[in-house]
Amino acid sequence: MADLTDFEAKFQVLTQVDGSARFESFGTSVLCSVTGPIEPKARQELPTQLALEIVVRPSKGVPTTREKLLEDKLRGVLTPVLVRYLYPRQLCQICFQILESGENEQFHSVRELSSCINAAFLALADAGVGLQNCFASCCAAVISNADQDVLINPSAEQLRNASSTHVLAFDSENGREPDSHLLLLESSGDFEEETLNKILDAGEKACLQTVQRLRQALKTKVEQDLVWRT
Amino acid sequence: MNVADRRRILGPLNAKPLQFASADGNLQDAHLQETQSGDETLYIQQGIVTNANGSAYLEIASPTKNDQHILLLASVYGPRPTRGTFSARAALSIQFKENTLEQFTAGEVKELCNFLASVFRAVINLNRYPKSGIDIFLNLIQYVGPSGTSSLEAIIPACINAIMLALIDAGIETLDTVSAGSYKGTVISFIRNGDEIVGFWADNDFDNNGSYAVTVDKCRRHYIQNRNAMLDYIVKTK
Amino acid sequence: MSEPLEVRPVSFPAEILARIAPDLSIQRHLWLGLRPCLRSFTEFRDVSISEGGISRPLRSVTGATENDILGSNVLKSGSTIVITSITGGMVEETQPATGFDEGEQELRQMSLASDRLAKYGAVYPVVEVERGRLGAPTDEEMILSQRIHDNIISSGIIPKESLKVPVGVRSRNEDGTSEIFYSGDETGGADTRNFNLKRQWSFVLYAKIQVFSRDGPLFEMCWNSLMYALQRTLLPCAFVDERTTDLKIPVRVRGRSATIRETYDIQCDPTEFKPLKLNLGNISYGSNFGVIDLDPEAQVRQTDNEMEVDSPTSVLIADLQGEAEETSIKSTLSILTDGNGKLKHLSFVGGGAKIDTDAIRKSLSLSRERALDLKSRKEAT
Repeated sequence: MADLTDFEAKFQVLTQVDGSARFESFGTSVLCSVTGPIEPKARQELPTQLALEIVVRPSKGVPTTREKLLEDKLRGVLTPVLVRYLYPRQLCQICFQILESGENEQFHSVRELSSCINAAFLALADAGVGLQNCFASCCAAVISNADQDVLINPSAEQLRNASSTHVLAFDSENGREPDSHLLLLESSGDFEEETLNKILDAGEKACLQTVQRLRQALKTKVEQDLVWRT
Repeated sequence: MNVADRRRILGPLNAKPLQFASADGNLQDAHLQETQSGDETLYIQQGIVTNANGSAYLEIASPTKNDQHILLLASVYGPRPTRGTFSARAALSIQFKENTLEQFTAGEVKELCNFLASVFRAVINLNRYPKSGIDIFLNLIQYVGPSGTSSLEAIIPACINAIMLALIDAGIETLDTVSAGSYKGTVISFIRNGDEIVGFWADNDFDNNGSYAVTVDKCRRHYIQNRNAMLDYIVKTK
Repeated sequence: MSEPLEVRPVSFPAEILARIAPDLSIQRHLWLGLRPCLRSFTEFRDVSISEGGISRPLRSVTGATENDILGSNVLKSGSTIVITSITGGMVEETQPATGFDEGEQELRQMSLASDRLAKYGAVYPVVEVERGRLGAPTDEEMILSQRIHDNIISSGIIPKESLKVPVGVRSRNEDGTSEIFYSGDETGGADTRNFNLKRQWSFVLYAKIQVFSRDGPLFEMCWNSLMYALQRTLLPCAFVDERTTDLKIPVRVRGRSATIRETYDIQCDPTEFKPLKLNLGNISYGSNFGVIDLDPEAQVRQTDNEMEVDSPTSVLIADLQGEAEETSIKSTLSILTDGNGKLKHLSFVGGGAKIDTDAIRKSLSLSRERALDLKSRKEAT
């Protein structure tokens, strides 16, 4: 069985921005670029903290209210993980271009959202913007006719049959259990409290695993960036 | 190029609005009906919109004609600073919106706003608020006119009354308590106890043959009634 | 040169402190066991609802008002007023050109069966929050509209089946009066084949949601108002004229034969209405919560040597209200539930205080109670 938290990451895909990363996992592919800290427009400026501008562009067509909602959820995750007091009166632009959605965009956005969060972590690290902690996200689905099994990072096909869909994001320093905290939980469909607890357990494990893998990807990147001389 | 509104969820593009077949029978011409003053009940509530500087909610119903009623909400924002060049007087803007049913065309709404703005430009002491803007928003929550029809002149007096009450709630200085009266499709807005006309609206062919004095007189009577009701409310609640 | 520098503590009245330092103000309140709105931590605002009497079917309209409002609701919660009105449109279903192809029908059925969400209809909401400015919808309005739209579909409230237009036929009698015949079955299933109608129409529902006196998060209020309005929505019956039902004009163009069908002029019956059939089990009501850490430094102590009491480090706040709560409470939880343990939507954003399973469990049970209460109000009206 393929490891469902597997992904492929590429850094510095874009040359004109401060940091960028491409995150690709099972048919969903997101490009994230980070520009900042830069000077904000007057109306964006916050006197004591870093302001965020988040833009999501869909894989096809022009952005609609669907992307606005994604931007809002991403803002909810990214605001607490950035060390915002380090950059007062400054702005950080984080842009996401969905390259491949990997799900039915009419009904779902869970794969896009969780990939965006992971891509943001890599791109922010690439840009060198201060982060409170590492963070990672995964999505999950519960299939109605099976015995309420939790599927982590479900495929488009599985999402179609799912009775409920969920997106989770946790922060964690190194992907070991006791220090992680829930950053985001977005559930919709048809579910119960019991299912929710299962989702939280399974999702936390998957997110922690992803944190470790993301850290590994970063480590490889840093090793390649710096030429070590002995 | 797709020019559809991307900021709103519009639904399928090929959807058509529902077309109701007209019910058989009794269509009456609303304009012929005289608005009988004196048979209206008025419900007033000020300060209903908490994040506006002043607001007033008005419910007008005719007990004799069951389904005729107006629910209207006026909110006043300002005086608040305007950007740009210096102006010695406050800039006044009036927006009218129908909250549920859209019965009036954009042109009619614009005409109404212009008329109301001209009335209130004469009444609000704009010189008192330099470099400021006063924005008035009217929300017509529901309006059922005589025998189910809709006509602008029926709601104008209510609009003027609602704005006046909202201005009082906001504490914005006016020259007098403005109100209006209507008679056979003509609306006249008065101040100073009916001695001064600040607005005149005649939509359908206004009969000029000697009835002018009658119209003014009827409107004045209606105005005094409206104004007294408002003053009564203010005195009682303050 | 040096003048004695005098430092005097500045004190502000409560309402000024709330404006200039909302975070401090809310902490002071919380240590006293109260919220700035003077509710206790898990107390909800009262909600009053009314139908509003705006909709066409519920009013006996004698004249021909251009009123196409099919359902409405006015919800008041604290000082906030939400007015929802539901209007409709009609869209023609795409049908195979040559009657009912059984294979194709089967395929359609199969694709429907596998796709859970494709079975449900949507409502297209436009939320407008009055804020004293003109212009394009704000981000908040767009996000609210989209969240409502997504949740209507994912909750599975409106089966597509119940949006099908029941089509009748209007025939003219000899004496000039007209009568409308609907297909026999009372369920409104529209067995239109009796009338040789090969085409089908579906209703499209739009919701216009107006908010006045915004005072805190709005999603749950708008959602609840829409739930009430939908349950009160009546859909009109529609008809086509008898003459157009089987009107076919055979034409022959360069040896090929074809038929041109008369375009149907479908109209809605001004008097016949049927309630919109909802999956009542999937109706849910919303409530929101916030979690905030208590700041021990903001505590107002009577005396300095007062015993340190072991107090909770974070509190759960229900039904957020006011600027102070909205800006200072960054961990928020929004729950849609039916009151019987079924959850429809849960959204947690952990911007501030950490949430533990206890807080989640507590908020879930509170939201259940709240949903039951809100549900009972619908029956009361």
